[in-house]
Amino acid sequence: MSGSATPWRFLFLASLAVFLVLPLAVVLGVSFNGTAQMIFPPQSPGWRWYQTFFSDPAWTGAFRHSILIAVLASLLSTAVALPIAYVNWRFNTRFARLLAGLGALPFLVPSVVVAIIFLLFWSVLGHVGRLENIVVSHAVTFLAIPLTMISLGFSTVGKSLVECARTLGADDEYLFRSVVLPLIAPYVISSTIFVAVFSMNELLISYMVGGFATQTLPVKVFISLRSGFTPAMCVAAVLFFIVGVVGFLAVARLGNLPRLLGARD
Amino acid sequence: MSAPATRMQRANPHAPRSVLAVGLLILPALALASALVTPLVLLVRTSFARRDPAIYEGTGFSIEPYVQLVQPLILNSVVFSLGLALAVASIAVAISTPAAYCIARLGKRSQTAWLIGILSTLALSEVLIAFAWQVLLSRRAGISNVAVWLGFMDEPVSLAPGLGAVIACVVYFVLPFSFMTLYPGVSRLDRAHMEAARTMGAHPLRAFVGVALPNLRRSLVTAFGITTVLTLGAFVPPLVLGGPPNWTVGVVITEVAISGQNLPLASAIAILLMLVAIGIVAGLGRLAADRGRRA
Repeated sequence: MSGSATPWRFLFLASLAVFLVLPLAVVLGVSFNGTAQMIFPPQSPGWRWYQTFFSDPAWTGAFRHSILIAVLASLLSTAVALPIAYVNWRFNTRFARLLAGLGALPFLVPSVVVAIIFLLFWSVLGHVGRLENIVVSHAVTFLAIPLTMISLGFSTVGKSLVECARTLGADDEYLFRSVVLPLIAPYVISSTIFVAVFSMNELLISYMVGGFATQTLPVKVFISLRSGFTPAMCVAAVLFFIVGVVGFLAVARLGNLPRLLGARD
Repeated sequence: MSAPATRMQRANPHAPRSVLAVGLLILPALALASALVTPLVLLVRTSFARRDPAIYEGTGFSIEPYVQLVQPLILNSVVFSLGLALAVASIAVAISTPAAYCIARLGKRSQTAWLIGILSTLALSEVLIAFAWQVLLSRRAGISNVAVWLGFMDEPVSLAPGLGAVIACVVYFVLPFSFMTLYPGVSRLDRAHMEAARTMGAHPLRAFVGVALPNLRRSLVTAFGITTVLTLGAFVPPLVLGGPPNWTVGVVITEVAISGQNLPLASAIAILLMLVAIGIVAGLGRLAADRGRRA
C-alpha cells in the first residue's frame, strides 16, 4: 500500500480493535472488583469473585456441564460429517450431496427456529432436560462447520496424489489411512475445536432443551442476567473468552490459520 | 469437482464404489434422519395442532395457530426484526469489507493474530456479548464515565435500553461472521488487478471501490445473507438492551413457547420466520446471479 493510505488503514484497524476489545475489557475490569457492585474501573481489585465463582457449585456445575457437552457434541458432529465429506469427495454421489445439503440447513435458519425445533423434538420424545439432548442438538446444529472445513481439507488433496497411490496398488482403506488422513487431519481437528467452542457458547438451544434441569454456563449467565447482577457473571464471561482464545490458538498452532479458513497463502 | 471425480472412477472401474459409499453413509444418514428431518417434520405437524393444556405439543388438526399469527404483537415483531436485520447487515458488511481488505494485506503473523482475536469474539455467546454491552453502556461502569473523565459530559448517563444499544450490540455479534465470510474471498483477490489499477494511477480507495468490490460481489452477498439470518434470530440483545418496542420475533417466539406454553403457535411463528429467512437468502442468491450475468 502506498504511503498516503497507511495512516488511514492504521486508524481504521485501530478503531476496529478498540470496538472489539472495549466490551471485553470492561467485563474483565468489573470481574476484579473487590465490591459487590458493577463499577469500572474496579475498586479495591482482587480475586474475590473468582473465589465466589469457583466455590459455588451452581456455577462450577454449569461450567462442567458446558465443557462435557462441548467435548461430546464436537466429537459427534465430526463423526457424522467426516464420512459425508469423504464420500462426497471420493465418489461424489447424489446421496452424499443430499446429506451435506441437509447438514448445512440449520445454519441457514435463524437460531431461535432451530431451538424451537429441538424443544419440540425432545418434548415429543418425552425425554426432557437431559444432558445428551443438548449434545445431540448441538452436534446437528453445528454440523455445517465440520462439513465445510473437512470438505475444504479434502479439496486440498491432489487427485494426482490419489491416482499415484492407486497405481502403486493402494486400496481405499490404505489410501485413506496413509495418504488422505494425514493431509486432512488439521482440518478435522480444527473443525472439532470450532464446534466445541461454539457449543460452549450456545445459549438458546441449551436454554430450551436443557431447561432448569441441565443448566449450561450461558444459560446460568442468562438466568442471572434476568434476575439481577452478580460479578460472578463477569468471571464466567472471562472464562468463556479464555476458552475461545485457547481453542483458536491451538488451531493456529496446528496449522496455517488463514489457510484453514480458506484464504490464499 | 465433478470432472476429476469421474476421471478417477474411470481409472478404477472395479472400485467398490456403491458398497463403500453406502456403508459409510448409513450412520450419518440415520443420524440426520432422526435428529434433523424428524424434528423438522414435527415442527410442521405441530404448527397445525390445536393447543392443549395437557399436552405441550398440542393435539388434533387445526389452522388456528396460523390464524393467531395475525396479531399486532407478532406481525410487528416480524417487521421490526426484518428492519433490524437489514440495518445491522448493512452496517456489518460496510465495516467488515474494508477490515478484511486491510487485514488480508498485513504480514502473516499479524494476520493470524487478528484472526484469533476475531474468531474469539465470533465464538462469544450472545448472552455474554449482551451482558458486556450492558455493562459498557451502564451509568456506573460504562463509557459515559470515560466521557465525563475527558470532560465531554457533566455526569455519567445510562445509554441503554434503547434501539441504538440493541443495534450496537447485534452489530458486534454478527461482525465477525461477516468478516470470516468475506476474508477468504478478499485474500484470494487477484493482486495483479489491484496492482494494474495502482500502476495506472488509481488512488488506493478508487482501486478498492472500482476493482476489488465488483470482484467480491458473491462474497458480499453471502456475508449480507448470513448476517441478516443471524440477526433475524437475535434473542438476548433485544431482551437485555431494548424495551418492548425493540423486541424481535426471537423474543416473541420464546415468550410464547416458554412462558405461554403454546407450542403450536410458537411453531407457526417459527415457520413464518423460517420462510422469511429462506425468502431473503433466495432473493439475495438471485441478486448475485443477475448481477453476474450483467457483468
